[in-house]
Amino acid sequence: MEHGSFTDNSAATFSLTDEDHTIANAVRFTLNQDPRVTFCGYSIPHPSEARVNIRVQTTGDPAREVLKDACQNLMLMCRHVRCTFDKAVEDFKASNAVKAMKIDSQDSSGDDSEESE
Amino acid sequence: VRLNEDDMEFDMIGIDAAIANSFRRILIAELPTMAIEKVLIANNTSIIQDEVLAHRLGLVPIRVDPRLFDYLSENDQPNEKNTVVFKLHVQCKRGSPRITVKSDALKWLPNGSELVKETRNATSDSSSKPETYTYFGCSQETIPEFVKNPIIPKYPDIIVAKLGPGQEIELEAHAVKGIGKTHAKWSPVATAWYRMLPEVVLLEDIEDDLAEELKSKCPVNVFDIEDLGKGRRRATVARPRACTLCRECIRGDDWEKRVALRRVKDHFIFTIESTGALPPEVLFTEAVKILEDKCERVITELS
Repeated sequence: MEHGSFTDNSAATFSLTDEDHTIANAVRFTLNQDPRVTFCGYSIPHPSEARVNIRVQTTGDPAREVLKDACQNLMLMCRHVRCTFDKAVEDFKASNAVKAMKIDSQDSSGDDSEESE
Repeated sequence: VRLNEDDMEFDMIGIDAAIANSFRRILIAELPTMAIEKVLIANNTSIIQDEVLAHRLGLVPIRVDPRLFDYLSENDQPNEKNTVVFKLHVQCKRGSPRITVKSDALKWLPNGSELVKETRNATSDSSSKPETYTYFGCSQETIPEFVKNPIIPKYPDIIVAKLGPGQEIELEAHAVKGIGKTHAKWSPVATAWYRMLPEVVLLEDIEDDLAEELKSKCPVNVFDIEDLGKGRRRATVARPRACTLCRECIRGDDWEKRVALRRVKDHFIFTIESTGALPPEVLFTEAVKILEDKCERVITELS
């Protein structure tokens, strides 16, 4: 649901139902990274009601498109996190399996499986 | 860093606090699990009240993959795709000592409910199968995943009730899929948290006696002494990860000028402890997938 002025496409407030801080904060963060955005924020009108208002003001581009792009970026980020995580888990398990196969009783300390973005 | 069957700890670098918090919230509240929701009590002569017993049964974690099941909504019939049925029948005979009812007394019924519904309809066909509380089309045993792993509670030694002589409990419990938002019994993690990597910076060179003092102050041994040669020693930060930010090292006079305690802004140390339905790395992957799905929903609502 969008409330905005009909003449000015670049500033709008989007009201999402059935959402809470989980997605609103993440979307707000990705919106902030976008250089076309002059102002963005979210608010929850009442905590008992699962509704989030996201306000976007841009430098001319329609706010709807900017929000869509931010969501797409967030999805890309998620996919990247998932891939990196899966790889890191596989590497960790592989290195642990190698260690377990060593028969002598060496003290094996935990492996550092760090992932970076 | 650490990965067991039940818990795991890993580092995430380069992400922002908003996304990390989203993952944490999803892990706790929006990952579906199976938990006992409806308890049909046939006989309960124990001192544990019906509702208390039902509440306790709901909190027992069940070792089953929730992705194999669908949600059960208000108007659906409970069938083999959305319900798991357990039976509990314990009796304490007169003259025998008290029994403790543990969660391994819950037996899985792959064929559905056995309790018969009372039908007032006098014209019902007596040759047809009696109506029970669930409508299982086929036995759940035929689903390949369950052939080798029967559905049982994850921990067999959870105390559910205690019975004295002559008391009996007979009930049937239906487990359905749900998310942690509606009730905490559906949360798949015991807990999930993250902390940011502490950064301990020595602003000045700390030598000799001061170095010894610094090392002895820290309760988790973050600092180490290295020898510079010529008999001088210097303190170094060896294990910043272990630092609990207790701030012992900056107590006392003048220490604030020499040691700075900060947090690295984008390095998160996640810890996930699973209750057992799914292994923790799978839980995290599912959480990321759910965040993606939420984004997609927003996008489709917009266009």
